[in-house]
Amino acid sequence: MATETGDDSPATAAASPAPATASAVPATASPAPATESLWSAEAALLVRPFRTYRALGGRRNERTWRDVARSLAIEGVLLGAFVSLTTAGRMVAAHVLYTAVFWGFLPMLQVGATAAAVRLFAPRERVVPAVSLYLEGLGPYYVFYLALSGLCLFVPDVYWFVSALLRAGALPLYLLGTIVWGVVITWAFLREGLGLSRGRAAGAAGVFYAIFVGVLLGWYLGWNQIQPQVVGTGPWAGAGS
Amino acid sequence: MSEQGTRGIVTGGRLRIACAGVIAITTVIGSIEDRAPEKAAVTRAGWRVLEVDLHSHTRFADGFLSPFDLVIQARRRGLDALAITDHNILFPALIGRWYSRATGGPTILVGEEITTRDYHVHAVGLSERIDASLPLDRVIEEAHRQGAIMIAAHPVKRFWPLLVPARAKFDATEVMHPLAFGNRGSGWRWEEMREYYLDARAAGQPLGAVGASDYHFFSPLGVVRTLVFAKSDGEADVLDALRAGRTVVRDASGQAYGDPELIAALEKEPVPEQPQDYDYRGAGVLDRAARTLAFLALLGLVLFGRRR
Repeated sequence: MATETGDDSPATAAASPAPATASAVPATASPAPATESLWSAEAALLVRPFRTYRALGGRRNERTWRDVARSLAIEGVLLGAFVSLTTAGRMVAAHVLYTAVFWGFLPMLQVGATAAAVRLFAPRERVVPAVSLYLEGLGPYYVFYLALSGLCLFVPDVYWFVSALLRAGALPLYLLGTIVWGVVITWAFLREGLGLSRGRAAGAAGVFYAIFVGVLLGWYLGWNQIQPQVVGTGPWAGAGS
Repeated sequence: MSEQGTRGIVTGGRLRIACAGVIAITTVIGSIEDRAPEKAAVTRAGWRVLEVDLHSHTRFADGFLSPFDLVIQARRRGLDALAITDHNILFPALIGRWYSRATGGPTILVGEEITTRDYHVHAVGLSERIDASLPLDRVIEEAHRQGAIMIAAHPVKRFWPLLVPARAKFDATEVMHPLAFGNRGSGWRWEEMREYYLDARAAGQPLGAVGASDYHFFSPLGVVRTLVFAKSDGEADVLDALRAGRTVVRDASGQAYGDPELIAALEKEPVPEQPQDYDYRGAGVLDRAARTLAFLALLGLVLFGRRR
């Protein structure tokens, strides 16, 4: 990875707790071109979540709604691309658009759960920068989407290959690995990005995942999609109708 | 960083913008190249032969696609009609039907897969949601009250304790399913579905033969389909044909199931080959190049960027 920050100005770079190349530039000096990073925050967090969040967290209050909107747009495009490539084998505007709309609950849920966790366990923290910081950590899911898309596009016999991966348990294992790494990155966000103590970070993580999983599970329970499959017919007749 | 400072050097921010541009261009190309196959109406034995998939799911249950996307995929895969049958809910099918009517898409049959621990059945042609907590007899009764077709969904042995006694009450059963291409370790065997169908015939309770993809995600909508012999591709005519058992299904080996007279008509004059694959075929060099570029640009969108 290159430097830990990508800098807009020497002055803001000086405010950063990290790195060398940026903070070494005096405020009055002319801009130094080499400090701009090549790799995105998503990529850096994927590889070094704790160190990267430590660096990003130092300047988190510079983040605005624009940063949140940019991250949400990237997430929407990647979700849409995933559905479009795995369904049509190409990028189709309608699939990208409709997926961004119909799967839009997912980023909204992430934003809501992060905001709630921050409000409860880091009340002095500004919500918008915290949400923006969280959204930079979705790299494992993006890589998962791209891996499956690439498989559909470039493997000669998709059905055989996917079946083999499923039989071998590789695909479920990869999904599990993605989720686990996503949890690690969320933990790094709370501990290093927001600087929360271990206890507060645990509480915030608990709230975040309780809301996230709770809402998803609530949807299926509310529409009676799970109960009949678990215990057959019963007294919940009529639920969600 | 100032304009002067970044001039002439490659930065993550600029690379990300370039990737976004490539994604936009390849999306335009992909959208232009994405054409539904040309399809002429086929007639056999005095009926129009329709290619129908009677079992599909959306993202409102455990699928990937929205009802809108499902309609687009049905058109792309050359289906004349599609039943949207989400688990224990009806509204995705209603959304799909509305969208298909508004955009001139294939006929959408409104359905629901009533999914429980002890049986899976799907009703097609519903107007109201059926409560999955009801016993099977009541579910069938309610579907028929609404004028819907009742289909035994992938009737593997696990569901036989309830599905075999109720056999006479069904209108049709899935005799062909993607399970026939391999069960992926689920323990469900396609041969048991076929046995259910053949046993019903042997017992003098002939059921309509249905083949369906049980579609959840990726490309294979319609990879298994039913040939329905109807007056037209209108919703009511498709339901009439299903009710009358005017269907033919072929399994992976080419063996046909369904109405013997219609099978004979097809043997005399076969219909064009149906797609039975999961492949993603490009429409040409531009299409293939565009999707490869799109994939690389998406990778770039994740990897490159200005960090602050």
